[in-house]
Amino acid sequence: MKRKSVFIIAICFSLTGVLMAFIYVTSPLNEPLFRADFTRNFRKINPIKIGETDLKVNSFYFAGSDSNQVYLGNYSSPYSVTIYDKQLKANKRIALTVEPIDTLLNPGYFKLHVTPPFFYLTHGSVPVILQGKTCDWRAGKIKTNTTEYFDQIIAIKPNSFILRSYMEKDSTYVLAKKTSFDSSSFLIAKNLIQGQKEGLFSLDGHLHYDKYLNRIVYLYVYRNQYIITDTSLNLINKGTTIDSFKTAHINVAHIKSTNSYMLSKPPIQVNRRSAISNKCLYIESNLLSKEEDEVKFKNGSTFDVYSLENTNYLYSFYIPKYKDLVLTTFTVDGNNLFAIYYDHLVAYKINEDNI
Amino acid sequence: MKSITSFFAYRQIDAKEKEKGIQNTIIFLLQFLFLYASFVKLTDYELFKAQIGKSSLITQYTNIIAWAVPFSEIAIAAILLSPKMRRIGLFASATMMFAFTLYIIIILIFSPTVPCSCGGILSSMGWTEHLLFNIAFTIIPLVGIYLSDKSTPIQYTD
Repeated sequence: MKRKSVFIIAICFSLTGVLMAFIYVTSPLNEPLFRADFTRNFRKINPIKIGETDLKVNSFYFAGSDSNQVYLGNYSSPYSVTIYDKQLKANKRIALTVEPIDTLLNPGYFKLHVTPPFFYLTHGSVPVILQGKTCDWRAGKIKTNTTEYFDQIIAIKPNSFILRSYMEKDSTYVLAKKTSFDSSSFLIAKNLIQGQKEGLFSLDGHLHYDKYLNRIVYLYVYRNQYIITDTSLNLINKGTTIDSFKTAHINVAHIKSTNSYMLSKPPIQVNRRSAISNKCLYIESNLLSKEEDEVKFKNGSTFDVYSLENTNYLYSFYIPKYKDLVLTTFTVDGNNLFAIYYDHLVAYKINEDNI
Repeated sequence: MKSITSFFAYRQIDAKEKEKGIQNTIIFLLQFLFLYASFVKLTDYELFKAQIGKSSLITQYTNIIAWAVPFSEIAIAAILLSPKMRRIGLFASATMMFAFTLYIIIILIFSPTVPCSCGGILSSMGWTEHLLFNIAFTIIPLVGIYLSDKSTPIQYTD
């Protein structure tokens, strides 16, 4: 190649490099993490790792737990349950016996829920719900109306469910209670969860059930609120998390070509994952607090704990990344926290002690 | 004796024909790539703008990039049409693809979440594949420049 050409290319590439460096330096990627105006209390809990195991695949999720064991479902083999003891020393894998279903789309989308002595397999887009007992792991179909689609579901007891559905005509999510006793019923709790300016992203959240208080909890993802209801979706209380994000900081665009909505700017996600145990709500928060170390925050997960009885903030604790893997999901059972980091399962003890 | 030299002369002409063929393929590939990419972006412009907006790296420059990128792609494809301006088109192609390559590298290193703002068939590639694709299409115009330099005789001044 001629020397002149090499020279021109070198100049062009260098200028491009400078331009991209400038774009990066002035972008949000290069900014220090947003620091919220509240303080956390880290003095009550010191998490201690009590077990770890290699799951070998990253397709496991938490289906439930009881006093001795934790139950895992698997996205790649939906008709199986894997059971671990609390120290993660031993495990057994059981194949579920499932009553055959016709006209099935996406058979892989079945999700497992285990609340001993019962278990459930749910599929929100057929929709179909199977339920059975954990003593023999056989599941049979319950009556479902073919228009009651759902994307999140909680089983309170057999034939009694709370679910989240998307209402096409109102373009919004709603929570509903489904029972299928003698006559099946589907009751929508109107205006229980409310959007802010739009009804899709701003009211996104996670459904939970606390069996001790017999309460349903819905935690919003983009704002600092959670609502507590009874098992018929009657509002009992509203709680706020310690940050001050009252309105969702999101920008939504309507794409006319596919009649869909998408976020058009990187959103500020307030609450990441969450779990409930023993009258407490555990939230993995996405917001850095006043005196926390930013580097430490980014290299692990910070959890805030709230009481469901009086909605007060109790305390926070921190768990670092495991083997440089990011936390995928977690669940809490009493004084134990179980976390899946991509393809590893780790158990921690989170007893309250004064340190 | 004459047949041997004429044999070698034919071989040389064959090589030149081959190079011309490669050069034409390169031009055609680049034009196709840029026209296809800009077409996909412009036909669903809303979607393209939202996808750019979601990328933390360039969200501040959404409006500028939303018109500048498809405009440049079409302009380069047009420049590549004219035999006189072809070389400029090749330099521009290499620079543009280099910019896209740097974008992917920065996102992969610095972004906690990875967005996708590609187009058509390109969006079904994983990030590694897309990076390799961009590197390949940065090198292809450089090959075109090399061949173009080879075929222009060096000018001697007396």
